[in-house]
Amino acid sequence: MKLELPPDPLSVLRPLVEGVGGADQADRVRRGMQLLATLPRPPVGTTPHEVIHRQNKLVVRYYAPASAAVSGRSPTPVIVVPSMINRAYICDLEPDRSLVGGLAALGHAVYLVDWGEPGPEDAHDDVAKVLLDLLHRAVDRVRRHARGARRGPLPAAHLLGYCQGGTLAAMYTALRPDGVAGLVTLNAPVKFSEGGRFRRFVDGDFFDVEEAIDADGLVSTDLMAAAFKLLDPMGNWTKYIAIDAAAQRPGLLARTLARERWLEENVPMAGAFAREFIREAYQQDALLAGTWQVGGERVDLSRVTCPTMVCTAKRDFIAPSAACLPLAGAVGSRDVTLQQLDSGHIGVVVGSFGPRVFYPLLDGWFRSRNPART
Amino acid sequence: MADTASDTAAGMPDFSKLSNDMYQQWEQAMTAWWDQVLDSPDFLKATGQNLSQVAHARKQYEQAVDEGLHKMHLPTRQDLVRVARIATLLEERLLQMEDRLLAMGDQLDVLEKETIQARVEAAEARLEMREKLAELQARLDAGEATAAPATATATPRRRSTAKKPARSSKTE
Repeated sequence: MKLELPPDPLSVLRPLVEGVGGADQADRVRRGMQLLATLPRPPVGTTPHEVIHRQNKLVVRYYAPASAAVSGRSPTPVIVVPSMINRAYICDLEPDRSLVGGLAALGHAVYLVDWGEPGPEDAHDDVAKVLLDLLHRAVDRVRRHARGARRGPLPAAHLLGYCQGGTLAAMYTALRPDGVAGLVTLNAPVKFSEGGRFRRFVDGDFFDVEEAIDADGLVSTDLMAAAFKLLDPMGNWTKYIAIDAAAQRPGLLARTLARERWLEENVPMAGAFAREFIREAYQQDALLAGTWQVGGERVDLSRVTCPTMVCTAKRDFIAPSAACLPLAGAVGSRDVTLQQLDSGHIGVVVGSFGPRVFYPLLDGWFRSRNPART
Repeated sequence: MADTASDTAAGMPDFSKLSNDMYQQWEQAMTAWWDQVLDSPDFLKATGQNLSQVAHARKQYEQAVDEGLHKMHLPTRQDLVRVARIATLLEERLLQMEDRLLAMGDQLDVLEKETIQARVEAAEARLEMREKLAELQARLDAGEATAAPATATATPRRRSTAKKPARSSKTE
């Protein structure tokens, strides 16, 4: 029998020389780590805007509607309420992947509530302070800004809450329904017993929230970052491979680094807020039960009677659909829309899915629920 | 990076594919292992205990730093936090005043609107009154014009009947 040799007899050895399988992946991870450690982060939050209101660390940013929008300007302002535990610029991460920029381009007057970073002096800020003072005043100033120089009643605004911001927006609408024309929640948990891995992390049997509050009265960013990393442990490994893979494509690399920047820049949580939110929401599931008292007022989701849209992402392990969807049945509105989106927790906002599917979906919903038209 | 299968000889194992498969299996196994660990009550309990110990150590350290600064007659972090808190409360007071001013502005707008509305209504009523008076005047003038050729005996009777209600309304 004649042995057939390959054209290059050493080719079979090449994988061993260049790195095979795990070794090769380890090398990619090493290169990815090096890139992540040395490359500067791209700028974020670059969509032109105007600051219309400030209170302590909170800033409200206004994104003017594009005059050239195909469907014209929408008369109802849209207030975007992001999570308090992450940077608000996730809603304006890149010029072509910007929730606020995308909606403004479609003709909406968009206002972004940027909660800012709490300091030790804000450690006593609880949920009542956040909802009934900070958010309530922000909504009031937005409505005044939207009314402009005209006189007459303040226009109602659409609220669009993302992640924890969605939970807060729903709670706010239940407490102060008058100024809200429509409520949209995106990946916003309300049934916290279905809150996935994060729910298990803060289970009352194992986790004492008091221990998580540092001497400054805050839940530190170190702890928050560790918790987020543990939500997807293998993601911490595979992300380096993704960075290495993106290294040859500057656009993709910039996009990956912008996301990494957002993931790296955690925000501490005010101790009083964390104490109340984790106990009431995650440990007692008090929101859906209707037993949460905020500033002496019971949060009753059935008081949400404005048009409501509940959006969830099918591949979301931070706020699973099972934790978000029950809002649809809890509100008192007769106009409730459910949207289960084929995306992940942040991909729905900053992935290609956003400008392709999600922003137009919001545009259509907002326009069909303008109080002036109904 | 490993080459494709085309580079390998017939019958020879594809080391590249083999090792990539091994890597995929490793990644899946690690994911499953992490899931098992992170969902385990033992792990969660140990993490909770660890968090307590770290928090305790951190509080002791912070306390020691504060005591050191206090002995050196330097402001502690708590002192600075208090100052920042006062600034925040002052801002809050200003915002509350702004709230009141805006609310008063809204009320003034409503009052102004109501006042203007009332003035418009009064002016309209006055105009209506004038129109009625003018109409009455015109009718009166027309009546006098037709009555002029009539006999002198009939005229005083008419006048007396016309004036009677006016007198009675004044006395009332």
